[in-house]
Formats: sequence, structure tokens, C-alpha cells
Amino acid sequence: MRRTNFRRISWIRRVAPYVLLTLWTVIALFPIYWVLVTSLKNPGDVITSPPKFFDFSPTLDNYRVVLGLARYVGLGDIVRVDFIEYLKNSLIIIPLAVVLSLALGLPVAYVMARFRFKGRENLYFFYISLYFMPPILILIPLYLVFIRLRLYDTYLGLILILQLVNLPLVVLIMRSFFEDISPEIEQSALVDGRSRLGVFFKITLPLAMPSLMSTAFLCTIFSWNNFLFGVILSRTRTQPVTVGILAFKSYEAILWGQMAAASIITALPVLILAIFIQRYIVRGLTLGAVKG
Amino acid sequence: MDNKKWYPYMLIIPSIVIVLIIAIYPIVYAFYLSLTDQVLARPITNFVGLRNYINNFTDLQFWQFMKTTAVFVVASVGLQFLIGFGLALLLNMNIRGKYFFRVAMLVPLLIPPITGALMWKIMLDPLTGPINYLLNLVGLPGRSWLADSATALPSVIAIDVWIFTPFVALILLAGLQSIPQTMYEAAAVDGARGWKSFRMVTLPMLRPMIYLVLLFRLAGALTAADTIFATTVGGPNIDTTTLNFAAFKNLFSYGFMGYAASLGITVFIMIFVISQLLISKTRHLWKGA
Repeated sequence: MRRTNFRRISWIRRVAPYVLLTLWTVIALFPIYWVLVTSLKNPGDVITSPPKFFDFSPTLDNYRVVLGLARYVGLGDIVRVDFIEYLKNSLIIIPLAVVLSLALGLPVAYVMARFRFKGRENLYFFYISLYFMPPILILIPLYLVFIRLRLYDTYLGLILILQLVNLPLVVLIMRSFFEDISPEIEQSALVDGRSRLGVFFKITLPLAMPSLMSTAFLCTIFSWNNFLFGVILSRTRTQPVTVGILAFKSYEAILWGQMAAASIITALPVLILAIFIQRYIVRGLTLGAVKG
Repeated sequence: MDNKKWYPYMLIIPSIVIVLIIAIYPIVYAFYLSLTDQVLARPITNFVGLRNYINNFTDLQFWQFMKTTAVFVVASVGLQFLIGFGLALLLNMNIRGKYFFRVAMLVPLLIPPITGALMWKIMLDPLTGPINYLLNLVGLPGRSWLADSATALPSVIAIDVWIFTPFVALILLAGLQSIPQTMYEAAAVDGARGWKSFRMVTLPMLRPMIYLVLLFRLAGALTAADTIFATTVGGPNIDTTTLNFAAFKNLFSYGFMGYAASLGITVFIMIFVISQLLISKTRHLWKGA
């Protein structure tokens, strides 16, 4: 009697983790699956009640319309969202913002990893606290400043404000990466008569390239996902995808197929980038505090 | 190394200049704004001292924001922590398909929060969404989740939990994996197994990571805006308007700059207090690089 009881308990113990993990995986992925399915429906199938899970004929029309390859014909023919424009804006703003972050942040990260100087730890905590500043608080006055400086609704303005998230990322993460590289390698090259700058570009940077790429990808993900900066500091000309996607929301169910397609389109690039930086994701998300 | 003392500073200055422009100056400016009654559409602005703060203190709506903030932050971070910790423990076990579970779990965290929240808006639609449909299948009544006063805040909290639980799980999993196996073996010699070894080894070793996760998530929940904007826009009425979202709305929709700034400063003070408490406890993690 006791024995069977034990066996049952150990059986539950073995299966329970799988059940729980599967349950969470379903919760995590079902909305993505549902939106993917919705994006493949024609407008009529989107708004049926009860909703259709499988029994519809899939179409790529929503993607064609969202990417500007076809014109929307149907229920809400008058409404149109130029999603491709938002996509273009994001694709212009983000690479430039990331390049600027690297140009500004790499020297700081390197110096903090290699030199002892007064105020180094304060500088370090300054960048950490920068990351935890409430964005809204900064955006309230910055809205006024940007209008005055004519930076409102410009690419330059959005590139600048993205440094608020990207700079701490580059400085803090790259510092931890540079510290992983032994200073002795640099020392021997310095002894060989190379300049400090030459050593950095010829020796340190190539060694740090994988981590540099992953930091750049991480910045791209954070910048791409950012919504607040765009919604406050830009209007029609330079709004990024995260703001643009909301335009579909105004028309509720009529454009939900398109909104779903746009959702998939905005989610895909970050997921693809994430595949490349899996190894560094923990370090990235904790600003270098946890090596993972 | 180089004995030129100015060398490091020269490389730091360009980034500091940018940070001064986009962060430090605005913070100071925001503090000043919070002492004025500036409204975007009105040409005249008066310096009003602490009046915004004093008004807030006696304003019922402000305390409603505070209450919503407290519920949102405590429930959201609490659930993220509990579920995330549980997932981390499960993923730390010797389980087949660990890798798959880990990757699948990450998806909601990586996609833009605004997109994730919009996905849930489609999911929770009372008529065409699958959630009500599935509930009806098992005999439960559907609801207008995001429009109903009773369910709006819990729904927004659930969406926040959906997005950020993987963050907690991932960091705590990394923490669990960094605990040396020998510690468990030593504890086992002393007779500590199961729950006891969890309490004697796992929890103390994990403590800095726990503080770190709480720091990130508390600050994140206090400044949550994307999920609320994409789903309820703070409604119905002000049921899902946290302090931070109230600041956002007063900037974005009404242009009450002075008032918005006073709300923003209040959020800032909360985060400052939390980070003072938690950063000191995680200090060696940051410096341990």
C-alpha cells in the first residue's frame, strides 16, 4: 500500500514540471499564434463570432496591404494606414541611433574597464541611474525643448533621445565585456611600440567584436521596441513602427487583420536578432551585472 | 598604463554632453515645471511654488492614481516574481526540452510591449476574441475585459505579467545556475535536502539576484505606459490610470505641463527610494565585473 503511494508521488514529481512548463509555453505563445492566424484571414473571417480557429482560407492580403504592395478593398475602403512609412522611419532612425551610441559609449566603456581615474565608480552608477530614470519625466520638458530647438518630429531628435536607453546599455555591457579581455594582450602590443589608439582598433576591438555585435543588436531591439519617445516627440513625418501600429487600433475590428499583420511584422525583426544574441541576453538585460 | 591624467576624461566628455542635454537638463527643467502652472495652449505661465504638490496631496483623484499604482505594481511584480521564480526552478531541473521551453518563454519579453499589448486587445475582444469563446466553451460567461471597471485593471496587470515574467525567470535561472553544486553537496552532508536545502542554500545564494530583479521590475512597473496605452488608455474612467500614466496623459492629451511634471517627479522620488534600498544590496553584482 505504502509502496504504490510512493510510486504515484514520484510519478507526479516527474511529470509535473513538464505539465507546468507546457502550460506556461501555451500561455506565452497562444497570443502570437492567434495574431498570426488573424493576420492570414480576410476581413470577413476576422470579425466572425464565434472566432474561426482553423476553418478559413488563408490569405496574404493583409501583409500585401500593410507593406504597400496592394490596395485595401473591402469594408473600410476609405481608411488607410501608411504602415510602410512608419517602417521606413524606424529603419532610418534605429541604425543611426545605434551607431551614435557605439561611437559615444565605446570609449567610455573602454576607459572604465582599463583606467583607474577619479570618479570612475560614480560615473558607473550615474549610467545605471540613467537607465532607471522615468522616461515620462524627461519627456515632459523635452517636448518643449525639442519644439524650441526644431528637433520635434525630426530624425535627429529621435536619434538623440534614443541615446537615453542605448548609452547606458553600451557603456555598462561593453565595460563588462572589455574587462573579460586580458589587459596583457594589449600590454605586449604597447611594448611593441603601437599607440594606445592603434592597439584599441587593431587588437582590442577585433577581440571584442562578437560582444560588440550583440550589444549593437540589443540596442537595436530596445530602440525598435521603444514607444514613448516616438509618441511624444514625433508627429506624422518621423513616427516609428511602434507608434504607427496604433493607427490601426482606431478602426477597431475593420482593420484588425492588417493590425495583426503589422504586429507580426514588428515582432519578427527583434525575434530574429534575439536568436543571434541568445548567449548574451541575460548580461544585456541586467546591464552587465549578471554574466548568465 | 598611460600616465596622462586627462586621457580618460577626454573620451568620456562627448557622451556626458549628450546625457546632459537629453537627461540632466530635462530633469532639472521638469522640477522647475512642477513649480509652475504651465499649460501648453495658454501663453501665460505663473510660478506657483509647491502648489501643485500641495493640491495633489488633497486631491482625491491623485490618491486614486496612487492606489491604482500600488495595486498595479504590487500585483504585477508580485505575480511576475512568483511565476518567474517557479519557472526558473523548473528550468533548472534536469528536464528534457529545457532549451525549447526557455526560448519559447522569451518571445513575449522580446517583442515590442506595444505589440504584445495590442495582441491581447485582439485576444480579449468581447465578440471576436478567442478568450471569451474559450470561456463560453467551458460554461463560463464572457466579459468586456478591458472596458469593464471590475476587470480592466486585472486584465492590464495580466498583460504586464505575460510580458515580464520571462525577465524574472531568465535572471533567476542564471542565478540558480551560478550556485556551485558543491554547496548543495555540503548541505546534504549536514542533512539538508529538499525544502531545507532550498532555504539554507538556494535562497541566501540567490538573494542579490532577487534584489536585482526586483529593482528592474519595480522601476519598470512604476513607469509602465505602453501596455496601458495600447489597451485601456487609462480607462474606463480612471480605473487603470497609474501615477505615471496620469503624467503621460496630462502631457500627451491635455498639455498640463506643470501638473504632469509634479506627477512625474512623484514617480521619480518613488523610484529613487526603491533604487537606494536595492542598489546598495546589489552593489557587488554591478562592481563584480
